[in-house]
Amino acid sequence: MDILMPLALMLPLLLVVTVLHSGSSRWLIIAPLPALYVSLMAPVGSTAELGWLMLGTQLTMDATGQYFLMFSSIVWFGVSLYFRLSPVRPDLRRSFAAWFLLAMAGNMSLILAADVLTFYFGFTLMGLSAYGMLLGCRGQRARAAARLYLAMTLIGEVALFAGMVILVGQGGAVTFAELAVTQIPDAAVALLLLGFGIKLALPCLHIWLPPVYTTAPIVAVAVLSGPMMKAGLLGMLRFVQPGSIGNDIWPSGLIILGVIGMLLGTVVGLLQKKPRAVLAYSSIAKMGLMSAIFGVAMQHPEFAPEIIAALVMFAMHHLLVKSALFIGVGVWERHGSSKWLLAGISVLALALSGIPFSGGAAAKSAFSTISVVDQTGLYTLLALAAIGAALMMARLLYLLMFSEGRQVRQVDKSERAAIAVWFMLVILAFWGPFLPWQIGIDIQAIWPVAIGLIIALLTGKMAQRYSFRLKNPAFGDPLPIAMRSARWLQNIIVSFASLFDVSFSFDRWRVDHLKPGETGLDVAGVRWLVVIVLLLVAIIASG
Amino acid sequence: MNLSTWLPVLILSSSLVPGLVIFMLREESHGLRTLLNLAGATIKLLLVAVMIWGVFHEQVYETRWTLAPGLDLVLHADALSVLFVTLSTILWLVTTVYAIGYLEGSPHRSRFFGFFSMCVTATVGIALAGNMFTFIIFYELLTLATYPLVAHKGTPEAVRGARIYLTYTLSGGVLLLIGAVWLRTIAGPLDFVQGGILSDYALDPDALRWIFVLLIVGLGVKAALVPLHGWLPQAMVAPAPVSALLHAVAVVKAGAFGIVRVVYDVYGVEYAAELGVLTFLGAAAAITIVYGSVKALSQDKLKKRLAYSTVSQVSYIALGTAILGPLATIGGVVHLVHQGVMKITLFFAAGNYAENLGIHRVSEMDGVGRRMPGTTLAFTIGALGMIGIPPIAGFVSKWYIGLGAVSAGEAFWVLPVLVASSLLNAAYFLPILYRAWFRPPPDRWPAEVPQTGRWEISGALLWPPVITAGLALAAGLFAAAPYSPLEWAEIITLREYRS
Repeated sequence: MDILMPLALMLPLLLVVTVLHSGSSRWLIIAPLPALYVSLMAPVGSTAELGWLMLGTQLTMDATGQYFLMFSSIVWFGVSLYFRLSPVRPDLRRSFAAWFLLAMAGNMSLILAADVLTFYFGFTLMGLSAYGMLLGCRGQRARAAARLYLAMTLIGEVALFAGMVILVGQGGAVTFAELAVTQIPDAAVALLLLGFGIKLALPCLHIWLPPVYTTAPIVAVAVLSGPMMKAGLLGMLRFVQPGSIGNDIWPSGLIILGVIGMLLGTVVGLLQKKPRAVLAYSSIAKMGLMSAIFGVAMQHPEFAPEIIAALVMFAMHHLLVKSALFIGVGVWERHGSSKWLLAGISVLALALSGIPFSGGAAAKSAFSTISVVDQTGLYTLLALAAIGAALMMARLLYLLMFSEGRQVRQVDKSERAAIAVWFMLVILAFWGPFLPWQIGIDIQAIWPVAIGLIIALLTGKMAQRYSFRLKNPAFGDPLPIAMRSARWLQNIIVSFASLFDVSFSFDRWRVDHLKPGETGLDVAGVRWLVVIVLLLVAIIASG
Repeated sequence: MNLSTWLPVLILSSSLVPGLVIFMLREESHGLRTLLNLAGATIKLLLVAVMIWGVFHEQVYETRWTLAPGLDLVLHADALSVLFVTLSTILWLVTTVYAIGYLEGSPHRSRFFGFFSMCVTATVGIALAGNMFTFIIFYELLTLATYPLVAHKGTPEAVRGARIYLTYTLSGGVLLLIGAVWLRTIAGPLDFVQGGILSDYALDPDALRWIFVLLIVGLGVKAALVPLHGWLPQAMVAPAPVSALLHAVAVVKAGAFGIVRVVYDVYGVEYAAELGVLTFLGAAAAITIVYGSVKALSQDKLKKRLAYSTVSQVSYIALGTAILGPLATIGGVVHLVHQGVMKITLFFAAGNYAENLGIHRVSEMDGVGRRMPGTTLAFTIGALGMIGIPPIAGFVSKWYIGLGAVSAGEAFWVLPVLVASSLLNAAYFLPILYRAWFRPPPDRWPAEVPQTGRWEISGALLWPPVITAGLALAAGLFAAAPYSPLEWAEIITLREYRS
């Protein structure tokens, strides 16, 4: 594996060159294959060391990393296949493919990273390259969303950087293995939670997500909502290992934030009028839930390994389903709703709500075997989340069926292949991350879904009867608020800068402020020279 | 006489002699001048390679002339000087190629290249200076050699910019001289010694504090510490190759190098910390870092924005120096190189935009990436490196300075400075990149030179930024590899803290 593990991150980088050079995205689909191969074939615990690269790069694949690598590369593979086969504006294809590959390389690097610096490299590469993908869509709103994304991502980067510096500077640990036994300073925890919280879209840090998910090219959203968002979760798992936190405020805070994100995400999501927006808020709700579960794991370090193992499965299921859902919405945007499309999306929707015999139900049932779950209210939380998910999925299907005014295009021959790829993903996502024969049927899991569907049907009937409609089509859109606060921040910086000019009046002594004819001692720096010399004379004289 | 005494002199003469000959050449003898320039630069590179090998194996290279009793002219090569010599030699070679392409057909080229060589000679002299006296001689020589280069265009604006430059640097030189003379009167003639020497003498700490302030303020003019930085944005009237050299190797870097010398090899960093003077240096550096970045935000002229960026970035070196502890030392010293290769790339690129398309302002840069992809790619690498995005060189410096600050325990305030600086760097560099790559190009450029050759611009102008961008990338990507700038900085640090 000495060659293959580095190849998993190098191949996408190398392919960037060919894409830019030849302008063809033909080779895009082979980019995730080394990573997929490594995740399937390499034994858990494989390592590779590239001591000369950067500040000494170490790669490893542990059990968690294996799941992340496997399902991320499956999604990357599926999405690149879909991208390859579906029609995209030719002028966009080249640059988009390059950014796509860069983001992929970043994603693979951070999953395989054994040390904090390699992780940071991958995280930064992935986050910044995604910005390039967002620019694939034209229009004011899309551009504003992309800018907001970039600003938040950069804040996340520097927070992560500062957190890492404290972690390594005080703890001395560079590899994640060493971090497990290190006590993490509070300041570092706060910074790391900020850094990853932005990627996970915790409440308040989520403002970039709805605008981006509703405007960006669908291929970009598919990977953003799947592998790239889960990278934030992986970051938390890697950096903040259970038992390494002294202060109890962090787990509790994370649980509270996560639950708020889950509830608000669900409520706001149900009030959306665009399918993409519903899915965006559903992502916020789901990541809130996962953050809360992680908080519980931190509170109970003795059960943490089990909880985290179940959480990883849960996250993997969501990774697959969400990416597939977004591609489905992309197909709907091009071709309108048809029976086969709605069938595919329904399958995904049911899996996401955790219907029995789906991967979602299996992932959830893994939690029920953990004895601590009953005391923590985790199970109630999961049940609530499932009801919310069912409601949102009902809302999504309703919107897909009844939204009007969409220009419908016939599916031509070349697109048929792309849609076939999507169906493969749908089937994979329904049971993923499990295999069908591994899943026992837990009939209890039907209840949340059923409750959700009943509520949805009743509300639908009532809305029809009393002709109740949503007034504000952009409810909960954070973009205007974000832009207003950005302008506000800009004003502060500008006035801050002008403040500088006053206080450092030396600047005003420069020659361009002088009238012609003023020369000699008036020129520039001579004044400060005089000041300093006088000061010195005074000191020497007094001494 | 053997190589170990002659090598420093040979390295100096490899640019001094061609420079003197070039002065005497007629304007038209283009071929001979180019030959002399390139031959000198290549020979210097080879000699420096020998010196690197020698210093790595702890060979001693020293040339000493006694001018008067107690007044020695000393050239001495230690690990720190080799770092700076190597940087200036490599970048001199690249900049010479660039300057030959840039000034093609323009008047006064013999004068230009003559002073250009003098400038490099002075820089190498500063690097190799073995005591304060030698250092000051070359330091002032550098001031005088760069003045004609800044004023080269001869326009009233250029002459004025050059005069401001001269006023600032000469007054700084005076302060430096006062400090050095004062130090000499109380401590005697001091050679630079790794680990510092003043702690061995029982001297009045107050006097030493004042001398430190004088020396740092004197050096701070060239290093562009706020509020002594006023000349730097004015000096951007110079031709692009001069700006490139000024910001990356020669003047600004000489000031920063001087600060490093004073702290480590005169005072000794531990003794300086004991005296409490490092706080003063650290505060000045931190203010400069934030101030330079904030000012850069509002500049529309590209070269001016880059100039304020230099003000900010060079102070990373002083900041790293001001923190006690080996990690911060590594970060500060390695940034001497990293800032050089990144900033020279940016100035080369700015020169190419001006030369090829007549672009001087950020607001004119829309879509320039499509017209000049090679140059813009180099610019992008330089800019991302300045922000500190891995794996480009700037990240390595930032990482070590940050680590040094946190593990020193007392310098936690450095972390917010680094964070603010990164965000501000992003705020003034990323909009440029956005314009260059993602905005549609205008119908016509301000002053376009039609493309004739295979590349977007002549090879002599295209390859220098591409090569230096490659170096900036390589310095970060292979930071852990042998002979990388980082490894060399670690050697220097090891030797500084050994004593």
